[in-house]
Amino acid sequence: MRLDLMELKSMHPLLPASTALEYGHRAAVGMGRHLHVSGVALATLIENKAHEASLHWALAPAGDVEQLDRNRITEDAAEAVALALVHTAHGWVVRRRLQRGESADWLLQDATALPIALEVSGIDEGDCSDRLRIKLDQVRRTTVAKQRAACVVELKTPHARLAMASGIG
Amino acid sequence: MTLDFLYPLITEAIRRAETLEDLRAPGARSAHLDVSLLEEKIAEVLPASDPEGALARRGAVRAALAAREIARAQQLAERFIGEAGKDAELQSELLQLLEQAEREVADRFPHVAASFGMKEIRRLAQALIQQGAPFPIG
Repeated sequence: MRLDLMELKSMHPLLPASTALEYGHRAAVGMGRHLHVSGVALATLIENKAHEASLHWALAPAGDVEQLDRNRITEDAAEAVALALVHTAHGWVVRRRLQRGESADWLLQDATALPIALEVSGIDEGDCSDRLRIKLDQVRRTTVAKQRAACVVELKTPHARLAMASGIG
Repeated sequence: MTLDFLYPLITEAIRRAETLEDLRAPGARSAHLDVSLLEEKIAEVLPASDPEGALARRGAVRAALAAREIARAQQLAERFIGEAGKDAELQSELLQLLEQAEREVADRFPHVAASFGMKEIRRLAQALIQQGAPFPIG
């Protein structure tokens, strides 16, 4: 799978253009922080099954990392990778962002227009398994969609895990 | 207005409000109010029986509370509870949001809550708003 983080807007037409650009830029900064270059392999587990993937982005100026909040970079980079992954792997598209308190970050729809709630989490480095379990527990509480998923992205490796809330954590 | 128009706006507005809130920036409250207004617009497009319509109604109330616009949150909740018809789940969710907000206000002002009760404070605040002048309170 080729995940082009600069193409989020074309993957998700209802994602605001400014948000798509910001996510792409912050992903570039976040990946650059770990000295990754565009084309890096993304270790991907979807429902515990490994898939080959690569991440692609446009180079961000070196000074940009100094101007942005470290946590914000991690979170937005994770959003970028997760949104690219769910679209490329499953064909899901964004409908809208959810407010805090809805137990999920995004409302998406699948190819048959059925809604899916997606919770995304990013970590700079470390094991994704515990975080994924926590996020799956969280997204199970949402009432906005019957299909629920969580995606955790770790930037250092980089590594992404995606699972349905009814599936294996 | 269509959802294709409103959904990108709400996505952008929520991200902005959350970013400002995380930064404890002074504009956070007005950003949450923007979110509440947009959710209300979405609620006009979708019926309460639609899951996304219910989401918008919860969102309008939730964001009004985040903006500390308690009176607006209460008015919206009352209207949406009426629109919810037999949807007990949405009615209960809206009431829970209001109760949670009331608890948070009572926690912030424990002396006032203990002395007068939040119901009385709300009545006085409403009277103050309606009379359009500060004193005397009717």
